[in-house]
Amino acid sequence: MTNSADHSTGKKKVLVIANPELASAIYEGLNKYIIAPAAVDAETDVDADPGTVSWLCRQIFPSPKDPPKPHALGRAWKALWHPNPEDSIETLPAQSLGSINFPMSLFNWGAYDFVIIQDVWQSGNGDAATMEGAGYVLANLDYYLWGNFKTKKIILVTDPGFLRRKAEWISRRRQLLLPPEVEKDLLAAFDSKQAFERIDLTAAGTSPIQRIKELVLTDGDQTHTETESDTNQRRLLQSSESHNISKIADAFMHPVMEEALIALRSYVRHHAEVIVVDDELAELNGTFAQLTGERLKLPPKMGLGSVAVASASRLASVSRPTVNQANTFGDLVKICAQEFNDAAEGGKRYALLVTDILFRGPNWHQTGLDLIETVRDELRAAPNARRVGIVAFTAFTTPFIGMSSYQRGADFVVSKTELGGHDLKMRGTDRLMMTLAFLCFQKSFLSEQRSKAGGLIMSTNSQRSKAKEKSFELLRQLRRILPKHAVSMHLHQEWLDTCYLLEAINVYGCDRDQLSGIYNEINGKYD
Amino acid sequence: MAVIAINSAEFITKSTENMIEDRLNEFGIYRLRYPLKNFEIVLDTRRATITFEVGYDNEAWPNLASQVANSDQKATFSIRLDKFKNFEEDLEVRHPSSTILMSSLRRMADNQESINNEAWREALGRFTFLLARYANKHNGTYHVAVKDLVLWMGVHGASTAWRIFYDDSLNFEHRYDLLRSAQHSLSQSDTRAEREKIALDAPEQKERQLLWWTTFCKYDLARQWCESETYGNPAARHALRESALNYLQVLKDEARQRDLRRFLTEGGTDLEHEVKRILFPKWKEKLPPPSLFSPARARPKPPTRRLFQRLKDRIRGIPATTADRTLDLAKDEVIRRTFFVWFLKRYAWWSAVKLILSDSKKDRMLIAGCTFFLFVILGAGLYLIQIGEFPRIARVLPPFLSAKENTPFLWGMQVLFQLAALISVLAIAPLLFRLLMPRALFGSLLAWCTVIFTALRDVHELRMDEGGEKPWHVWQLCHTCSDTQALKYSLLISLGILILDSIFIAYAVTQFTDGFLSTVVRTLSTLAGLLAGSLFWGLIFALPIKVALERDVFRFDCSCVIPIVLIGASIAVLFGLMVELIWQDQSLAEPLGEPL
Repeated sequence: MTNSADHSTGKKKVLVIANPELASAIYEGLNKYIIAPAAVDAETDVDADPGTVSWLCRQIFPSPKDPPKPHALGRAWKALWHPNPEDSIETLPAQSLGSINFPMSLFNWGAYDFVIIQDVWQSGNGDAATMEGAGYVLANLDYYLWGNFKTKKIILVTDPGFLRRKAEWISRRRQLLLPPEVEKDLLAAFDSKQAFERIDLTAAGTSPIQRIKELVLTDGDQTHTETESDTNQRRLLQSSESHNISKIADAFMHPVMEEALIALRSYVRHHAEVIVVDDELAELNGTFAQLTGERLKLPPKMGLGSVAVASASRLASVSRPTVNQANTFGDLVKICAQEFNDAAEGGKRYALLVTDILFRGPNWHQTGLDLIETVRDELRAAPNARRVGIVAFTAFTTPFIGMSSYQRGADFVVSKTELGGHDLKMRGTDRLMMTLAFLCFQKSFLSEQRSKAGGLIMSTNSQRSKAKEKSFELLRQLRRILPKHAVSMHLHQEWLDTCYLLEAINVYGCDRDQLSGIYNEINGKYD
Repeated sequence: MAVIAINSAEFITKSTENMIEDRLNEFGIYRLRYPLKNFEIVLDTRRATITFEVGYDNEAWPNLASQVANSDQKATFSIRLDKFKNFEEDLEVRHPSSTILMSSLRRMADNQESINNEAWREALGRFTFLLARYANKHNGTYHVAVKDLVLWMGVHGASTAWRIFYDDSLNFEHRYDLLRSAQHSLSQSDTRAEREKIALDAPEQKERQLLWWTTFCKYDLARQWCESETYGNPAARHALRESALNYLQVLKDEARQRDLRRFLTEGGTDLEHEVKRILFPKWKEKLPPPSLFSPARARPKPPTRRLFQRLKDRIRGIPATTADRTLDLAKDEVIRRTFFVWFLKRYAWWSAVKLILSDSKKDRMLIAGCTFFLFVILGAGLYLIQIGEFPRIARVLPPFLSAKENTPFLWGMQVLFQLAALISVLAIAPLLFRLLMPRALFGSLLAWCTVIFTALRDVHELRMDEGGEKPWHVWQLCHTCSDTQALKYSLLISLGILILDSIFIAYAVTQFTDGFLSTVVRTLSTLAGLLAGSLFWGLIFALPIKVALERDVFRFDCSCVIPIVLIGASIAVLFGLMVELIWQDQSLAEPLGEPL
């Protein structure tokens, strides 16, 4: 007989990304200690086999499906009964814009204390099928690119010899000299700060579940003693062989990144129209191709001192998009404004401007910084100002360019050059794509939280008792997934206002009049 | 090969059901288990206690776990929620229980799950409230713990809105807005509850304390907001003014003053300190808490200044602390009038003077004060000449100032100077005149005029040893001893009377003041002030009383004047006190009528 009302708490949120048997075993083994993510029906992807890298990337960077367009009768009915839907909070967006309904989404990993991911995934089919270390790459992206340091990543090693065999395979194909400790060197390349934990599923001794439990128990703070192999690892990385390791790591990562970029491209295209500004046609074309997967129809030659503007919004209407050229700064601003207007009419929620910083030519006294500033000034009075994002894309890596860009209105600054120190070496356009995806996520996530808050305010009497609880959970979720420090400087106020709205529900409870006022004010400001 | 698996819906549903299970058994005991840490929190709703239990195999807290011998034992620490005695005794003394508490708090805050059980929410809410006040008192270790705990628990309505104060992720404006509305709704419910329950006299202490605390947090938040605004923000200033007035109103008008005082004392502050914090804010003077980058010992010592410089700075410092650039509450007429009396009622003389000197007419007050003291010193000088205490000085004085021949003239001049002192104050700064004329001063004048003068005839007639051989008059007593003896006896008698005076004053002072030291200081300073006032009249009336008593010439020719001044002044104070204490609701220090 129990003599108390028991209530378990303090469990850790854990996400397991692995094959079903393995995932179920881990969840059941840790049942007492963890909270599993809410089950969501995984969308059936007809283009990819479940369990492949392609399928994994689409789950990691999911794009919500477009809602079915209402038929003409339905639209007419809606227009009759809701002639001015923006005036009322009753008309809340029904579709989820962000990706928080996808528990596996990389953007949501911040909500978990631990993410446990399987190391090896299959890529391709039939004879072309290869095994790829997607688990290492995705863990690396989350930690070293997104900067989600709080969530502990645990890699389930299903094949301890995979790294060596893959490295040997790559070195044979590329005729590279294989370093003797290639496995450790590769691990160091993916996790130079030893932030990940590896659980070898084939190792004898303590069961993997027990080892994961120990990690969860100690919050992943296991004492790491330096071994001889660690010393060797550092010595090797400083030698001339590090170049080969870098090449092997690139080759290791490339297939996964290709799949990830396809998913990211889809994600960005789903949310936003992208306008690219550059004075180098070749670079513009490359960037555009990376963002849209399409090639531009380039003019035979570009006049000296011209700046080209390409917009992804024309993709739908034109078989092969062209570029607009501006010879003066005024023209450039006008073209950008026109592109923004076209983008707004295109039905996408956001318009993102990607601009180079320095323009070539004796007539150009202004730079991309001036463009950023002018666009921000012009947009200040525009109703859709909050739906615009600006990314500076430059080969300059000086802190002064970065600082100036941020101050004048850039959400993010991305380097065109290949970079990689602690993180993996990555092309500038790849970084740009990820940055745009992250910017879209930030905006859509905040919008979705506000939309949910509106739903709580409009809840019926019977649901109101739980509105506060839900609001509290939404606020907590917001702070976990998108902490203040990760938000773009130009989204800070939006982030603060969203928090305020959710906190107001907690304070006012069911006082609909007061909450409606706050909601309408914030909604009018951003949505 | 591999297919992704999140989890089975069945498993999740079961897990969720376990989480939100809300069963209360017949014993009213709830257990909150942290299976990861072998740590439990037990809530006993009947005894209103929260107990933290650390198991023997707790890997996170090996130090604590090592104190436990076997699996049957647990390191525990209990806190009484209802019968909470005081913070120090309940939280800190019982080492290593305090270690358990700190670790437990950290563990609780580092929790992704929120508490949905109402009993737990209520109990932990009360505990957090206690802890927040304690952290305010000891602004150190507990402050971080409280902040984390509060953020974990979140806000669930107006009664918990004070937690927003700790939420840095919202900006000041939003936080202030939410706190204001929460306080508004709390005060409304409080008033309603008061109206409903006034007949039963059943005060809801918890609700009141929540209202006080919310008001306190609101003011502190507004103040932080103002301090964070480098170039001044009208909204922040408005918020500060509004919250300060609101807080002052609570501090002044709260019907349950004792309760409020106790509440504030538990939080490491007191009523007067809070009022002074609002009226005389010291901006940017608060030292930052010691950190690795600014250790306390590394702070440079202020340079040693000369006394004159210090005095000068102090005088200059009065407008700097009162006439604040952001909040000029001390200059507001209503505030000044209200809180001047409020301070006097508590015998906080310096604060009252500070408040008055914050007025723009403080120069005139200073001139009036100086003139007053100048005339009083002149009067006292003439008195000393009359009694012939300083024969060397008397020798160098001109003939018309000779005490032997010109006593009526000198006495007249002395009275004139003393009256001129009062008149000058009345003419230059009438406000200061009202300050110098508190009730007890008038009381002593009343005693001199009515009681002492009317008793003179009886004292003159009073004969001792009337049935004996040599009956003698009481007024002749001081003629039988030397001046020194007369002074000694007079001082002895005066001391007895003054002790009685101080008992009466202490009785009045302790009505509004806690603390032994402040009571002693305020009692003695009040007594000194009253005695000075009474001596003021005593100097004037000494000679007439002596003449009336002895029916002698109008001159200081014996030592009778010593007991007359000393004992008379003490008795006048006593009579004055007794007269004033009849007005039960008034303080001795309070002015008559409108002070300002």
